[in-house]
Amino acid sequence: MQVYVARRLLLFIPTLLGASLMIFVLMRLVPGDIAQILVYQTGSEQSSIQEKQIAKIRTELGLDRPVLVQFLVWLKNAARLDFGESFSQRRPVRDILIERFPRSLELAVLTMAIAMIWAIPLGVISAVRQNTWLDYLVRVVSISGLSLPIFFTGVLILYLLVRFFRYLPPLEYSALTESPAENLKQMIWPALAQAYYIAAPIMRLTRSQMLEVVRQDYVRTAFAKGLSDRAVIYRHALRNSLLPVVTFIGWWGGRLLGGVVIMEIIFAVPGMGTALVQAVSFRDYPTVQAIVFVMALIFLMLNLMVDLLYAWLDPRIRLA
Amino acid sequence: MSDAGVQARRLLRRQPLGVAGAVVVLGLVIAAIFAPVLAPHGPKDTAFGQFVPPGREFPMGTDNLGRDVLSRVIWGARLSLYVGLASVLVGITIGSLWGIFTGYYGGIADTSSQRIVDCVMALPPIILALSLMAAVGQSVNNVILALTILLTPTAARTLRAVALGVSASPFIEAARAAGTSHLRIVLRHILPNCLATYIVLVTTNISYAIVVEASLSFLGVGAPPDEPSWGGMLTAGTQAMETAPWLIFFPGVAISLAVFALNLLGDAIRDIADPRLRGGLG
Amino acid sequence: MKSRIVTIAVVALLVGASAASFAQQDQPRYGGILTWFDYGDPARLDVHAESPLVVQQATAGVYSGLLHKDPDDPTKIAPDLAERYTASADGRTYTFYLRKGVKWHDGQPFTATDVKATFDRVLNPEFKSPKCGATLKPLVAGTEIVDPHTFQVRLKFPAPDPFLSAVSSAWCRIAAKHVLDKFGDLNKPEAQIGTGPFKFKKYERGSVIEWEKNKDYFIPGLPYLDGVKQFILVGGPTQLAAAKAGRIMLWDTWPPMGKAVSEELKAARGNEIDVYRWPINTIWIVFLNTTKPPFNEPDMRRAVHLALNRQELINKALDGAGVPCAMLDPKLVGEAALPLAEVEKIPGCRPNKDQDIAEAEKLVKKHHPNGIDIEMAFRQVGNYSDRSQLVAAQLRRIGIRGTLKTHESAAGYAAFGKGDFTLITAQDRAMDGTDPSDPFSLIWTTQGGSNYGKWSDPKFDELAERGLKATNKAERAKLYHEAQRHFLNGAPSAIPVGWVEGWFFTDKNLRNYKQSPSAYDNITFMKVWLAR
Repeated sequence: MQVYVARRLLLFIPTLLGASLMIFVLMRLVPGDIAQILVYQTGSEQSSIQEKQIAKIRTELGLDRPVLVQFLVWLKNAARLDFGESFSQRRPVRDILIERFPRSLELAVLTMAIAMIWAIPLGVISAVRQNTWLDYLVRVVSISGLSLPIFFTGVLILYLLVRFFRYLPPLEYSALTESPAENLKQMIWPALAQAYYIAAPIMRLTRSQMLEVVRQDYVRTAFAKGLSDRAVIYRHALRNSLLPVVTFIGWWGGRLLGGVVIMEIIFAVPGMGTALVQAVSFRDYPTVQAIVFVMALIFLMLNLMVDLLYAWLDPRIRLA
Repeated sequence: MSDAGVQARRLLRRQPLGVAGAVVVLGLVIAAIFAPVLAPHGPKDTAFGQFVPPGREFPMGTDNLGRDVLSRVIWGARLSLYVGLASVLVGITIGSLWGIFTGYYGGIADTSSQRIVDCVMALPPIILALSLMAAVGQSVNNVILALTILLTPTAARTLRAVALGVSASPFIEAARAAGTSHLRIVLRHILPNCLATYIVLVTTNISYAIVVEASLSFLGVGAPPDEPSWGGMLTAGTQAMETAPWLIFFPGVAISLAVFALNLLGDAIRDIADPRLRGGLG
Repeated sequence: MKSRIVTIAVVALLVGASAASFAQQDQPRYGGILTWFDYGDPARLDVHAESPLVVQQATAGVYSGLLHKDPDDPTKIAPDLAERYTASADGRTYTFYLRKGVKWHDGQPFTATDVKATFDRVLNPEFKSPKCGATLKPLVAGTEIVDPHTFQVRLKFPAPDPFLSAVSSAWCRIAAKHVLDKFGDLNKPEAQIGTGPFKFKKYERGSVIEWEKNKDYFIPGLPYLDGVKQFILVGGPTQLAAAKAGRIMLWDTWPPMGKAVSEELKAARGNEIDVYRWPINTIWIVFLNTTKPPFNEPDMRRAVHLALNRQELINKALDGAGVPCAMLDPKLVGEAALPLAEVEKIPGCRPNKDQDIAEAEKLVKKHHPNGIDIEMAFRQVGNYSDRSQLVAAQLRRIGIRGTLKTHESAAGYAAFGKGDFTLITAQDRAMDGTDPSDPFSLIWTTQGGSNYGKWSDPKFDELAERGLKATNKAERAKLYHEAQRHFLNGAPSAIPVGWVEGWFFTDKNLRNYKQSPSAYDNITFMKVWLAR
């Protein structure tokens, strides 16, 4: 077991390296850099000095060194968790990470919690009453969550709240530790919108796993022993049905931390998603590299935890 | 009663939702194929009055530039299905073949593939989409490219697992012992057994691709704004929900209907393709 | 007799009472927090080094300038930190007499040393100051401290209007020497130490910016507000929702609301708000790249100029809120603008397009008998995509077939600056002040920083230069008229579609807020009060 974990942790390194390199190259392939943006965005200074200003900014930020050198320097510093200074915000990237990460984390956790509370029982019901109208109803309701693009669900929520309740969630962020009520009043809505969206796959997965598991021998044995339906379901089948759901959480958890920029924009949550998108927009390389690094790391850790959880829940699975 | 009729009735009874989905999808496909004929106007014609509410002349009203919404919704079916199908077929197929072959052959090809897939999957998809569109420009085909890149790794990972599972079966070992070439084994035995999973992946991801394209429009990196994309129309319509609700209503219904139908159809196909999922408790 | 006296007394009392209550309604009320929004996150707060409107929004009330736009009438210049100024007889030296007893927000005294430090910084050739520096550097020869409360500026040539316009601009704010020494720049929230009516209270990045009342402001009795709060709202639907829910009290930002959105808002909030249309001192330009085909050929440029139907573009894309074809807007710059009646007769600007389009078609056919396919670029912001589709449709009529190419909001500037485009369908350029020289220096002269198409016409440059330096208003107007005629009758590369206007709203409770012709000015809210 320890060997397995050690080996997996070791595999983090090439993956993080590869992902960082990919992003590094990708960011250099998109046109424009921060120096050009800063100088040409204002377009006020005389054309003759614009070139000089661009060169000056590039030297200041180290962008005039060979690309390979830039990457190696970044790598060396990243190993010490020093991600440099943001080109746009002129402050340490680490500060940006520390500031933004808790908000994305909170949103992701809220979303997952709501989605699971909503989806898992529905999946069970749907499996137990397969092919009945209840099954159909549940499947239809959960698919409807997937059918609308998430930005639309978010905008619709805002619109309905204002139109019919003359209410708008707080537009400024309050930390959970400082004013939990204000914080939750803001975070609950994007969490609901997202949970509605991801509930369908969770429900479907639960349903299909339940269907598969209940036909297995040990459940049949439990039936034969005469335990009541419900006891059979909950004690044996559900526990094992959670396995793929756990995988799902592992995969979606990482995604939620990274891809929720749309909800952050609509509900004015200053999280990692908007930080990343703005950093890409302004070619703020250090911030982009750092956020991608952190997200990749979390993604890998979540996957590892999920695999370990898998092995623990079902001893029949051997970790290769 | 004919054999086909009996089968059809059985299908209807077994998978009513799936059949309903199939009917709607068929409707969409027809709309997509015959868009030039069905649509009363061109999707980019700005010749009409702006913000005309739905009425006799414009059943779905006109938008902020004076374009007929009905025509744009019909042409939007073509764009959405094109984007959805193309990205999924290319992405899932390439990914699946990649995963199956490297999974079966193993060795360096497999381990390095695994690492590459890991790297790509570890990247937040939003940054892949944004950077890609910034690097190659915003066009319908580039949206397909972006979606393809998003879908390929998952397909590779999933199909590799299935291929590994199939390879471990005694049947394959026997075939190898009998001297059958690797390529033959893959083509004859592995691929067919992966087909069910492949079909499931394709059907579930078409609707995903359509919805993701809409979200990309919101961020400004979907299909170019003059193209009749449902997502683009939805994004533009959010600014006038009170005064011109038809601008979001019709594309919204179109997307929901399409995704709904595709999902129901996909569910039904999965139920049929994977016999283990039939039957139930009591 | 007695009853009559009583009647008169009662009437007098009633009249007096109602007069008193009327007066009270106009009496400014102290207290309350003004709420509005920024369309983006400023990131860097250095008012001398930055140029986006959000930076001005974030810092305006914190600082004061030597002069500023009068909060009661923003078309006029009024004293701020300088209680008065004099100009020498030859018009080349300005002496500013500074207020005494003014303190920085950290308690330090304000003196001429701070003014000198600010001017030195902004005028430093190595320092990138796109707003204040760019306008002052061509004009200022040197500055001098006469005594702790007197400051002198020497100009290279007499230029009262451009100079005063620049000095009173919202970007030429005075910063403290000790703050500049301590922090090096003004990017950090901690460095926002000014002499303005509000102190910089809080900057939660991506979320909110807050000011609080400066109790020691050098004008006693001001400001009325307890503070100002700006939400950072990036998404259009969220901005609209905030307006509908009454969470923001005004819309004074970029882009302005379109007609549809303003209707939407009126439907939601009806008589709680005032919705009005206003110019934003911004011009919509179609840029043609003169360094490569096809627009290195003057005929092709003239064809585009002739073919563009400005009226249609403004009617459809701006809902009619704009001044078509004008290089200068008469209501903003006064007599230096070519009268609109004359503009309307110039080919290209004529409302009846038939002749102009026919001529344009001929010019295109001459060089490209089968028409030509080009890329038409624009940045993905505001409603540029709507505008682009209309421009593309219009140019298709004369044989120029365009595929739309989008650029990102920030990086698009890099492409334009480098000249990586053939035609830009829509790029707005906001002016800082209402001096007629502004758009010429920025867009149309050879050295203009926004001359993306790299157009160069020596005769035009000469006219613009003479216009900048002319001191006689009538002579100035004459020179600018000549320049405009020369431009519009030629083959321009930065083609004006028109001056952009838009819709804004203020909450009815918000009093004494006067919108200025420039988007950057008069957002200090120093004399604004809430009638809650």
